Amino acid sequence: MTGQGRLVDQAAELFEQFRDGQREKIEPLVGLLNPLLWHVARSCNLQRPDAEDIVQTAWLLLVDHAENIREPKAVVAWLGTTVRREAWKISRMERKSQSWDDQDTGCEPADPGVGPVDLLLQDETQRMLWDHVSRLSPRCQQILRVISRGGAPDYAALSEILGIPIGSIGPTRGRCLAALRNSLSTDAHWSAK
Amino acid sequence: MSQYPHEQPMDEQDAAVLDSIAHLYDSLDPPPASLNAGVLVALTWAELDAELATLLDDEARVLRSPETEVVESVTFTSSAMQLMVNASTDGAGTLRIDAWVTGGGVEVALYLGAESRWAVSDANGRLAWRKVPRGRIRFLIQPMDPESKPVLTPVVEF
Repeated sequence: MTGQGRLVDQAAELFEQFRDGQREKIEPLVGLLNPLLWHVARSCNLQRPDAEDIVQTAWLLLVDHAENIREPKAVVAWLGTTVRREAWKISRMERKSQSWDDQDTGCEPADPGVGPVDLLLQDETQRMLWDHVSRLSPRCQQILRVISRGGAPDYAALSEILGIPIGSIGPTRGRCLAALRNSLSTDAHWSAK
Repeated sequence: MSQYPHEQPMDEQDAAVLDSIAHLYDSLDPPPASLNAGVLVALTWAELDAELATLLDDEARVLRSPETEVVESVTFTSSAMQLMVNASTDGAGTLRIDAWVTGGGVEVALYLGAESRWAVSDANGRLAWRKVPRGRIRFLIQPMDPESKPVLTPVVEF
């Protein structure tokens, strides 16, 4: 697990260098942040091709708006929020039932399906873990999926990325982790491994 | 000290569980191999400030040649040039792509995802690419006149 605090700092440094004219720094920045952005997009109920498009769109928007981002450390939150908002737009377009004037309250935290689990997870321990994770609420799955991309969490960035008030991040993460650990502790196979 | 009073410390077990979750999703739903390269290509195109060509007929035409193999034909147009593209099967499931562009010596790249293959038009404006896998393809045309903007076509599925 790479520390998210460190992730934010690494991203800020690369972004600042990119903005100062070292345009080639965009490449390591893309490599650093794409896993996080991918999992944000996928946890927002986006199919894989849509998630790929949205991540691409977020980077295009970032380059367009690079000069307006005053604090380089905000780049992770900026990209994550953009992915979430673009995902929300897509889900709105698909539902078409609600007004575009509605406030963005965060993306739909639903998993769009991950494919044939038995084929993808060859490892018995991972299959057991997925069995428990998949029983958590969609919101918990989303939070743990995104937070797992960073160790010491940057609460401000996570709040922006997930569209959750900053004061709720810690308690929600705590509740979701406790629910998962509790579920795992009742599994004799898990305890025995 | 934590910056916010509501921040809750994580113990080692929490960290271990989160680590396992990260690995779980890496196995279950990893980013596509093309994700990073696709982003970098899109950013390169954006920096080119290219003119976007349009499809002349608004959609690709599917024709049948005398040999009954499916031939797909499409024409792109921009303010300064046209690019006509014919795709035909060349065996082994790959495509032979013939194209004609306005003018000779024009450099044209065929993009399949992030992969690019450049060709230069002959005196008659003719270009060809062989053994091209089927998929979502777009072209980047680099005019000979350095003052002219490059031209980027929309994506067409062949």
